[in-house]
Amino acid sequence: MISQTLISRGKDVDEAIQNGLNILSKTIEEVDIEILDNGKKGILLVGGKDAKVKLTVSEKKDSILTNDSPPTSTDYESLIDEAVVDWSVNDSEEVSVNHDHPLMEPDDHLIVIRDGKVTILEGDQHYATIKPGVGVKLFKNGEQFLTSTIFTEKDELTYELDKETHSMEWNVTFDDDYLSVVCHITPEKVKEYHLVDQEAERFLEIHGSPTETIQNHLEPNALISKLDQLKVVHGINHANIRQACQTLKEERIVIAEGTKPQPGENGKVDFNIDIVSQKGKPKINEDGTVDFRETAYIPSVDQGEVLGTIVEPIPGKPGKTVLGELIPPAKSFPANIKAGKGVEVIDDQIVAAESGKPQIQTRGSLYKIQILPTLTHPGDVNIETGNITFTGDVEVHGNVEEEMKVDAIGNVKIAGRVDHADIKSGNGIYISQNVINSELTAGRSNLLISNLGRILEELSEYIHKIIHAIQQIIRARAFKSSDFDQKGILPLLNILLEKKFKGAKPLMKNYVDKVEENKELLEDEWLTLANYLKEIVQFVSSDTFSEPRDLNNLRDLIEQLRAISHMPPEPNSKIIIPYAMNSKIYCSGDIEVIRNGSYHTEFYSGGSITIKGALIGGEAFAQSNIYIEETGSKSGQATLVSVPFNQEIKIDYAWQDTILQIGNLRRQLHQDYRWVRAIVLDGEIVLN
Amino acid sequence: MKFHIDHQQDLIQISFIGDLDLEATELFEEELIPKVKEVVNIHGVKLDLSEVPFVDSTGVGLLIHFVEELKALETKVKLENVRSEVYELFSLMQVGEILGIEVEQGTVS
Repeated sequence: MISQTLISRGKDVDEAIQNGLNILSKTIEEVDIEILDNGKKGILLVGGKDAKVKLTVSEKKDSILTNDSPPTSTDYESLIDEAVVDWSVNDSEEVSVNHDHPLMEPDDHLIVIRDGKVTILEGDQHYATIKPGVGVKLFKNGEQFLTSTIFTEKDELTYELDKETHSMEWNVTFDDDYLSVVCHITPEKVKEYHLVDQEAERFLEIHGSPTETIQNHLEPNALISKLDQLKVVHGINHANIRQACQTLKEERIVIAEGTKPQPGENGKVDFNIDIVSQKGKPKINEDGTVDFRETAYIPSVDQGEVLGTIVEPIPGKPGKTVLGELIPPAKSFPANIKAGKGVEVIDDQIVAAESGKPQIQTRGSLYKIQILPTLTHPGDVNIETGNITFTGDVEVHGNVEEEMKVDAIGNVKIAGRVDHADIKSGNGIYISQNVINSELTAGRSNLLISNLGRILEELSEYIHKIIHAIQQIIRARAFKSSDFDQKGILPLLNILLEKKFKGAKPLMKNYVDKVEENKELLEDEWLTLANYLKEIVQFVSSDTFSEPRDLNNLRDLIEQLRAISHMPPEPNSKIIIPYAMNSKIYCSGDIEVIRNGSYHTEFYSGGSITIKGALIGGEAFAQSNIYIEETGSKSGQATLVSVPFNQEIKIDYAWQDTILQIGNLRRQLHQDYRWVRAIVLDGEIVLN
Repeated sequence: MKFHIDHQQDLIQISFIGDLDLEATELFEEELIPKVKEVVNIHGVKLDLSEVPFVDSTGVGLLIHFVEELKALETKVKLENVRSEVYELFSLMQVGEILGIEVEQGTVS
């Protein structure tokens, strides 16, 4: 007789038998049982001893093995020994093995879910284990359980399905300018769980499966009456209101939109003459010398000729807020014509009163027009000829020698060399030969305005804060404004400038001093502001500041002038030279060195700087980009190149010890670089 | 506005009664300053503002000027019992910082 034998273990004899039967897939009737060890119960699972039984499948009881070629019993024993599992550690979690054919094991307790109904099928072997999962609360005989729990057919399982509701939300808000009304909608979201059908299992984690329903309960009428309540009358967008009532996602929808005011056009001058050619460049010969005779043609005008026609400003169109209020457009200003020497304005016509070359400079809506004569100086400028100061253009055919000065309102052209001299020009400076130990200044008024602009930049911040502080003080309970009638607000201002806004007074003083030094270069508005600030600094009582509101005028004037200082003048000044050494060169516009570079020279440009040749030592500051062929030298000359934050520096060959500054970031080069393009990236200077 | 001077050895306490405003100008310039200057060897002056409910900017200016005169005489100055509304105003104007003296808020307002 061939028999199959298995030694099986368990906590007690029953379990040991059961475990063995499970492995053999036999019922108790099909085996002979021999109890080898009854086992011992331990205390708190410690020190216990397993029960051990020997199960033998007798041949006649075995229906499977009879048809197969019989292996030897030793083979079986070794096979089965390997298959012996130590059941003593089993727990409900580890039994959670899915049966391939669960219904074929009718002896286990099984759980089935059909149509939302949980049924525990009776069995006399394993008990069913149930664990709650997401979206469902489970109760055993009315009591909730949170971990794996054993069920028998006598236990009652009930459940509650979760439901998450996010109710609908909506609100309606204005933007700051009352130019739009936005409806912010969050539709209702309901997440409901239902039980999923599950086949019979001995272990089951019961969880709900979610379905989400999104609903928008908003009615157009609700929105319309809300708009009505908010007094919105203009620009209601019914299509968007419908959209807001239909959308199934969180959204911000503009349901009413005002009309923005349309800016008009400032007044201007239509010129009959070609002012563009005034910006022309002189011709550069092949050998690098400059031929100023070939400078772009600047037209001459005859007495009585009409230079241009003044065009009136076109007012903008007012806008409308959603509340139906009118928004005035930004004011359009008429052209501000400063008719200088040789120019008269007759009605809307600008007429040349003299013959000569017109000089036209514009900055925003300001037009400075004058007709300038040209002074031609045939030889050198030296002690014998004396300095040249001229209201017009100056052309020097020779050199400008030591300690001499040339100062012109218009352009200065020098065919020779400039040595230890001082050249000033209201417009451009063009020099054909070397500039040595000299100072060149072009576009003084523009430079001045940009300096004043920087002061106003800071002052503007102060004035806003001061106005705010005064409003606070006036609102303070203990404050009496009784002295405003007699003394105005200067006493109050004075107290605030004493400590709270300590920095403002030096700025005001600085502005006043700069304007007074250069009165003749500035327009009236700059002087008016200087007079106001002088009253504050010197604490002179007058009617200018009699009530807090008057500070708003001061603020507006500061803002206006600040805006003017930001506008580039047209045409801007320009300096073109072939080479400079130990010199200082200032220009409100572009600077070009067109041949041999420079040595120990300081450049300051309100525009860009372009240098052919090498910049050796010295410094180059530009408000716009800088391009230089070569910076520094083999021997390591510290050479500084500086531009503001948003600008770039290009250098074809940068020797080490070149220092690049962009905004307030600095980078010194410790080796030579070719084809440098320096910009600021992520707060540091990078070289591409 | 009125004031009351209490003189004890080298300490003076000046109590102000009424609004510190433009109308107090004469009082400060013609009475108070000359009177204090007469007294020699003062070490400390306490200015009691418990009875001052309102101030205007001129009044604050007068007070600043007065304190500066006193400090020029090498006298220690202290503002006392300043009502909370006035104290708030002084803080907005940074009066204490201007004068570099102590401003003490009163308990009653």
